[in-house]
Amino acid sequence: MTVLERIQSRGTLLTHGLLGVLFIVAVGVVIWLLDSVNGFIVYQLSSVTYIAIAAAGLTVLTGQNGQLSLGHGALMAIGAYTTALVLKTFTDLNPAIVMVASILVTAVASIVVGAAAARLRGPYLAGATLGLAVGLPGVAIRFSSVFHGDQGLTVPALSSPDALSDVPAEVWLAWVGLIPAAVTFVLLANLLKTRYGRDFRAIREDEVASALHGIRVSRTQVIAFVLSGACAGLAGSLMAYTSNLAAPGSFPLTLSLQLLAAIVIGGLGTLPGAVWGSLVIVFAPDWIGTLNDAMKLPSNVRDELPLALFGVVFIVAMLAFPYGIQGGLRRLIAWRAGRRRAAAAQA
Amino acid sequence: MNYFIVLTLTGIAAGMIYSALALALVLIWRATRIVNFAQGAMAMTTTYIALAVIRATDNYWLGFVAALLAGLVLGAIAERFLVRWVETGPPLNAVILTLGLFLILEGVVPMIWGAQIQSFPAPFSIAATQVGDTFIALSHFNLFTIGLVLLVMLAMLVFFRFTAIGLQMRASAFAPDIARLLGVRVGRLLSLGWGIASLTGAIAGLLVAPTLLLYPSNMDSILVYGFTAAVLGGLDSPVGALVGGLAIGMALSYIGGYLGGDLESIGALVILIGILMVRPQGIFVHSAERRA
Amino acid sequence: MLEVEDLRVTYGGVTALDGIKLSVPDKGITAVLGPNGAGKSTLLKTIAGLVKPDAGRISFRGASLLGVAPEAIVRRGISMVPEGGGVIRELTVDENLRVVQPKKRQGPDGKSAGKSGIDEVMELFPPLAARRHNAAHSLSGGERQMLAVGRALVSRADLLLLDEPSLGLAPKFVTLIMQTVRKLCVERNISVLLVEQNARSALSIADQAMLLSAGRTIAARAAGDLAKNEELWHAYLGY
Repeated sequence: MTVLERIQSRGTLLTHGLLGVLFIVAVGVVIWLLDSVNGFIVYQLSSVTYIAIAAAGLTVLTGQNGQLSLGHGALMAIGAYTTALVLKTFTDLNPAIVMVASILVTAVASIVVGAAAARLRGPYLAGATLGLAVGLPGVAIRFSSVFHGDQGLTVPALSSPDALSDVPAEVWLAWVGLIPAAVTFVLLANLLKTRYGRDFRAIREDEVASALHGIRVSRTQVIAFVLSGACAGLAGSLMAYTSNLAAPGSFPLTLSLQLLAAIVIGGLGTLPGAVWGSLVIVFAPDWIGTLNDAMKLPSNVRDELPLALFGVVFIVAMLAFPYGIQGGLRRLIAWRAGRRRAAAAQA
Repeated sequence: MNYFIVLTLTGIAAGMIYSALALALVLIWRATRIVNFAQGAMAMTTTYIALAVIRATDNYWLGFVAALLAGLVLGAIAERFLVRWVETGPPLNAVILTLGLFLILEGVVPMIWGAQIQSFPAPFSIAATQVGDTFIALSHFNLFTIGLVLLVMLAMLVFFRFTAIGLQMRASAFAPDIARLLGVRVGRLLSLGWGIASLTGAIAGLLVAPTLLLYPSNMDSILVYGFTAAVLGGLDSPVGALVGGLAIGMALSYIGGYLGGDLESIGALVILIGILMVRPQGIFVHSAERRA
Repeated sequence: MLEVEDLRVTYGGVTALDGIKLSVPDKGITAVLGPNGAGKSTLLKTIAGLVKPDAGRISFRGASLLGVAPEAIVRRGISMVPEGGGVIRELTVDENLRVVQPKKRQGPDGKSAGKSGIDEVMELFPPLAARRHNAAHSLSGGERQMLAVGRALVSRADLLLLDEPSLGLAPKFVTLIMQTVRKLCVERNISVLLVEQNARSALSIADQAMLLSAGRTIAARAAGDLAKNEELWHAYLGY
């Protein structure tokens, strides 16, 4: 028995946990090395950590459980504002505690939305969550004595501990982001292998059959939504730390759609896909900017091109995979199985 | 004038606009069982086209007509070249496709016309109307809005009830496969249906812009209001869209007037979730299936 | 009038039709008989353009129908009445008839003919006239078949494809529908391709018949001969 097999026999959580630690260390070192080359990329990588957390939550909800949410940007806002408000009162509170508080508050909000969502399907759920994305920023503006209106609330910058005072700020920020991201992915990957994950997928495939097999459909859907919302809350908290701000303008409808774009690019439903999608979402504007500088396009084209291209991605993905990525995979498998049977029949 | 009455009247005028957008959503839902989340963005686009024409010709009505024609063409193109391919697929795909169209339009429009907020002309005064010594909360433009939307509704009713094409469109919506066997060119009629719906949406866009101003995301909240109105009316019923729009218009006017204008959007969300919890089939449909 | 050759259709790997040859004359009734799953309905759907064949030729008056859309096939003069009639439940009887897009006429004056066509249907089926402005979902099974056949009449079809018109109908309606089909065929020079599981009532009005089983043609001959061939009856129809 090799070492890896021995670890695997101790359970998937341990395997995933070890992989997570390895990942944190490896990427952490890469980030440190990268910083001497290009500090801006490191700053962008900390954006990737929170986008990836939110996208991972959304891919569990939409890809695995089949519930579409256009309101995850708004849920991120709840996490971000919680972080800002907590830090306003307890200035030096440990970030871990602040993030847990943001997760809890967003999870509670998600119970309300999720309970409504569990009774809604397809376009109705999309419409309701769209309403959340469009409506929530208005609340921050209306109650400006608490939320400071359009200006938003400032969030103090994270400073590295004295012992590591040589570490540049952006590297420290990316390191801090890596830990919750790795924890999120390890826990989600583990969860998807449990009965809950199977129930999520069963409901996505066929609700009636799932109910007949004893799965409590509504309850499971609410769980998926709350789980996903908790991820968005954590992402929002991290986003507040990264941008030092929680303001309504940071959470437009397009943020929710960008998260959706991340999981569509990543292939709707896989956790690694959420990472690839998030990398594209964060870095695509830079690539397009570089391209634009080379082609000397006007600035308004450069600013809007990423969004328009994400729209093109949506359409191309839907036209190329009319039965969804999952359906496409299933068809491919069925086709190959059919060929194997035919070959066997000939022999 | 009594504040409540003022809110009611302005609510009715705003509600008419939501009715128009709701009607656009309902027409497309009836024809293709798809909620067009790009409806607001399409209306925004046609309003920019209207503004360009108005600036070039110095004539509001030419811009008005241009927006309607652009809506017709945009809707038909969207159906023929995009939606056609996902009509038979899972509903999630159609939703994501219309969101893709939404993003493209909200991305391309500012590339052409800039992202800054622009004012948009009204064909009639938007100041309160004075009758003798008293002011009535409704402006001439409000009256124009109410009259125009009612006229559009009436025209739709006549079109679908009494014309051959309208009958064929209803047949295509109810039973596309059977309609084909009767020689009805279903594909063309679906494109026309999307065109007519987008024309209706374009009217909503033209009516929103003078008071709410014009910018690439100016229809986002109107889309939510229109969707709420359509769901309230049953999503399947044009009359429901009218009544739903009026109800949402007044409710949001009270919310805005008594609680603060910034709460209108979240108020619409609360109403929407309330309807879906209490009476998911809407007011005008008796046995609609919501879990599709 | 209609020639089908070497027609092969597969549904998701299963062969539904395998090398069908069929010739439908300019007038008269051709019955297609066979047990459940023999491919009868698939044959009609393929001719009507609803199902794409894998191989073979279908031509109508010498012009190929392959790749032609169902709505265009109707306009060439082939009208199909699907199983159960396929009336549009939400529309009224009158609207169900008015929505039909009739075959393109060579000469002028197309519209008035469509109008009179509806009146003819009302004369032919008095029960429909009484319910002209009722929604079609309120009709009985027999009335639905009348409406479906009536629609085919309005379309001025030269070839009528009837899929199981007797399915689920009371015997007296079966007789009425069959007699009406025969009458239309004789009076209007319409050719009918009739798919039926109810072989006896189909053979009672058919001129020629073919027997399908498992997607293949088992026998094709004059209806009278087939009616007398006890052996075939037992082997393929079970009675």
